[in-house]
Amino acid sequence: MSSKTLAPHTETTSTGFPSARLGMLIFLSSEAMMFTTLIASYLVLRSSQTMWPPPNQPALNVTLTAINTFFLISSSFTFHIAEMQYKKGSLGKFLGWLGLTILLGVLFLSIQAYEYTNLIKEGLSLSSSTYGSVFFTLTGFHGFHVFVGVLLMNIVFWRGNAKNLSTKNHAFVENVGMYWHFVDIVWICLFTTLYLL
Amino acid sequence: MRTARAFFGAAALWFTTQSLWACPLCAEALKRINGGQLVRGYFLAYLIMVLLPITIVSFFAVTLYRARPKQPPQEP
Repeated sequence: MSSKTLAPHTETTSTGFPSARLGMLIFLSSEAMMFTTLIASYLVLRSSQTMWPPPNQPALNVTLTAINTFFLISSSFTFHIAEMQYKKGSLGKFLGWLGLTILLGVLFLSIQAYEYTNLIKEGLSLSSSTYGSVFFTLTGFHGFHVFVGVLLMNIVFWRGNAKNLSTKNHAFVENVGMYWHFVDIVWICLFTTLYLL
Repeated sequence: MRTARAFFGAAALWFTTQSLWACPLCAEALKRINGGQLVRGYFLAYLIMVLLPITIVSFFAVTLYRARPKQPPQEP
């Protein structure tokens, strides 16, 4: 793959803060509020039950999900390295690390789909109980966000491969990175709340 | 006239409070459910629902303050 020099992205605003990044941060704040609301609902629903998980419910596969969590956290690091390569101007290495991040994201979704299949086979579904409803809603919302993140990274990859990443698109790469890191942080909170506590 | 208003105001407050005591969300009623675990759940939920907006606002305040454009020193 060829290497292409990318000039640093500079933008002057009245606040002194790039508008695209500010917009992304506001968006992520609203997303954080949404996930917090879901976790708060989970806490209330859980505390209303005498036993959690309720009896006769399938147990969650903590080991498999812990490995999956490791993949997702690793993808945050690989994206960070990709961003560093992008800022250095090395497009080839950037695409390599970005490709690895996409693979890790797809792997996470695949393992989650496998876990869903097993749980559904064992009788846990969105409508089977409060436990199932809460579990699938929280992890499903997060899974959807991971899916969107993978799609966005594919767009970045496709643009990079077509040598269509200029200084104008620098903010786009940074924003996708922020989104991906956010998705990872949310998963750490969800994994701790749903699987460990 | 002022005394009558104060009286009716106090009476309204009293009756409202009476109805609030009967509210199923009040702590006393909740304590009887599930050995007080529900109260704990509500408290935790309130806590994180209050903490996050405070964190977000603080984060934006600090970030925007640090990124503010630096004014050049004015000549006397």
